[in-house]
Amino acid sequence: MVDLELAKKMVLAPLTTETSEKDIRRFAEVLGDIEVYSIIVDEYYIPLAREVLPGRRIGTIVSYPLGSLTAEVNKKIIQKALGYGCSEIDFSPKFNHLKSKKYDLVKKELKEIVDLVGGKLDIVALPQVSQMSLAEIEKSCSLFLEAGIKIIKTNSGLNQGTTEMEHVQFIKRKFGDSLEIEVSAGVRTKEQALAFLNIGADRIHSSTWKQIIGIDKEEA
Amino acid sequence: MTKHEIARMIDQTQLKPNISLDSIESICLEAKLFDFATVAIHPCHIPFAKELLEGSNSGITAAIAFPYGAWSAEMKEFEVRDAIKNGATDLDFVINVGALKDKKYDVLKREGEMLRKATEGKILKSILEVCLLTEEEIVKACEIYSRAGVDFVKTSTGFLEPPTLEVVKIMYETVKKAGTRVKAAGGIRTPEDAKKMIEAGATRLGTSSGMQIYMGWEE
Repeated sequence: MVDLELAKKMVLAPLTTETSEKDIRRFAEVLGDIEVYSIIVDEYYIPLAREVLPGRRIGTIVSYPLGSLTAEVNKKIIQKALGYGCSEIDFSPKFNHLKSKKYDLVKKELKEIVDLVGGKLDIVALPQVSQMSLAEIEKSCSLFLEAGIKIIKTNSGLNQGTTEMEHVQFIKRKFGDSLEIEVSAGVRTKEQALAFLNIGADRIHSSTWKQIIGIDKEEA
Repeated sequence: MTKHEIARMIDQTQLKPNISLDSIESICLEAKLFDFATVAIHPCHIPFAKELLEGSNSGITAAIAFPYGAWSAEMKEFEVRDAIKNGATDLDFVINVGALKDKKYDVLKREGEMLRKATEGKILKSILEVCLLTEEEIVKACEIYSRAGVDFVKTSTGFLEPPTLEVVKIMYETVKKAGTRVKAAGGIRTPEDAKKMIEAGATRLGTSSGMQIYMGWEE
């Protein structure tokens, strides 16, 4: 039995090196008419995702996983996302700038992104909480809010550690409802997903989404 | 083979996502000191590395479309041109593995040709991520990219499983006639690892252990 209410809070990302057109088509078939929050694909697959997943929120990743692209390339990929009519981007600010407290550079980068997007799609920023101290998480989130970014995705999930309940509780305590929180990395089961939602997370990213929302194994 | 000859085969690599600028500085200093072929880094670090490598023989390898490779050829071309503008001498791009899986060979051919055109005078390496591929797919990808004119076919990004010697041999046998070379990357940590890869046909090695390999190399 599919948990349709929980499904609405899921962000799905068929994103691996070997993801093929066949996989995206199969993904769309498996999803059927189940409503989910959004679907994140790599730039190459945005047109296909728009075709086989019509009417859904489609997004892409920018500077994944921890901000390795130049400003020019970030700009180009965001322009592509805007051109394709994406609903969101998952944006990784430069991890080493945040870590080394180069906040002017972080602010500059965030401003460029926010200005370029011009409110035409949602920006989800990744603070990579698994590798930050609580003070660094607080500072990162403050910088995002100052720049006008109101959604965070906790982690990139690329072998970089997991999100803990304490991270979400801390962000919630510091920022209340001013930041929407998407939890990523480490959510494998429905119980874990519900536990995060119960303490105030808004959405869940997970590669085990089928098990979490209860799509039968045979069907998937 | 001399220590210097092995050094000139090494792309001293630092592509961990969570790296600090200190670690970029370290590999650049090592590259300068030992005369490594290049440092292999993320594009955002190229200007910093360029300054540090001023006056040395070591080039800069830019990791393009990392780590998934699922970008359009236009997007990869844009990143390649941007990296060259910033100082990259070598461009290591992740191929469109999904298109290979779908047998959309025209997509791969176009990608290879577009990137070759955009990197004239620079070293172009196509990363296959061989641990995800069948032998048939590895051979096919080697043929397509070799024909498109890349300088090297490269085994792996280093994010996933390292390549086997057997795979390096297959790649070498497939491209040697065309004069395309093989870069092995992933899991190369000791002089012995490096030696085996070279014997299998690799002439460029992507490794974060360049210094250990150089120090332990017996001429």
